[in-house]
Amino acid sequence: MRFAFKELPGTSEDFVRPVVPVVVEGLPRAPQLCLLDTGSLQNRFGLWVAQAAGIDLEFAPAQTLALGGFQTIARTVPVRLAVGDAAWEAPVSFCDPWPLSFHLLGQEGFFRWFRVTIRAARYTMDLVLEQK
Amino acid sequence: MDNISSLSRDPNDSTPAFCHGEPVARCRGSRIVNLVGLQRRPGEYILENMNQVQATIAHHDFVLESRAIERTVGRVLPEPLTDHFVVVGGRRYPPKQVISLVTGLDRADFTTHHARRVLRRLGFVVGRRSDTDQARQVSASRGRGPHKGHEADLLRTHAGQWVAQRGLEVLVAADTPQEVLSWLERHDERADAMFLVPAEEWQAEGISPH
Repeated sequence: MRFAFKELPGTSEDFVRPVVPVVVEGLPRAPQLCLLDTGSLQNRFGLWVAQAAGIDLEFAPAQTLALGGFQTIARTVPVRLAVGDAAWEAPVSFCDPWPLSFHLLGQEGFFRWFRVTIRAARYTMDLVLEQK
Repeated sequence: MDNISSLSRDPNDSTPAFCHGEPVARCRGSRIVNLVGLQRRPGEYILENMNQVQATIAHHDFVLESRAIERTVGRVLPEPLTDHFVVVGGRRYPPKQVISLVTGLDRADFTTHHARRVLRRLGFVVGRRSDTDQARQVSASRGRGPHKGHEADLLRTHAGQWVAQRGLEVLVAADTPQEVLSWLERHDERADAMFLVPAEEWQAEGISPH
């Protein structure tokens, strides 16, 4: 699967980011824009996604995280995710507050499932689901 | 909106129409008073300034004010566009949705072209999706990225809002993600991606300033 980088408006300059649309179970109409973040161990999503998708976090322990300069409270549960026709289940930390434009796909929750080729000079990403 | 609807049932009623407690369109009964004598098309008159237009729509006469329209329509999310649109408050709406909202008329009672004409007289920008898509394709751009900056330009007016996007087109923009999800559900639409258009650069960089 090939995806193009996303252009996001800025004030001094615009941003071109390697993001992919991820379908979260329970939200099939609105794939969530997620940054391919090799520096993140887990997937990190805004809390509102869990609330909108009806994902139960009641028994997920709260954890305080410092991410990119802000502090947030995370609750982690396994969630069914899909990109295009590739689906997998992985832990997602739902975080509040979550001020970023996109969610984050990390090493354990995403990269271990896919072979990823990023061609930043051409603004493209290719994802191939890894065979078990 | 019900009180606006009642306006359209009685063409001789000259009381103001209200939407959310604010007057939007005043029905002037079945006889038009031409205040400045400038008739652009049958049934449409420019009043003292370009913010106000008197128009006959579906056999009812209305005085429409652009600022009142902006206030009223700004409280409502745009419905899915087919081809024609009007820009109100930086958002693209179906012209018939706007006219129906401010007059209370049933959309089946007037045409898209009539709605476009009235809204253009009021100073609103009207257009067609097909035209703007073609213009996008042929216009050169100096920006970075897979679309040479076009995508960033299209998103710029939605800074700070949540959007659902299909291709490069913004299907809906709203202040909360819940509103966007609700809109998609209500209109049986599916987006390619949903995200927050950054209002601050750090929201796109993924780091927060201390």
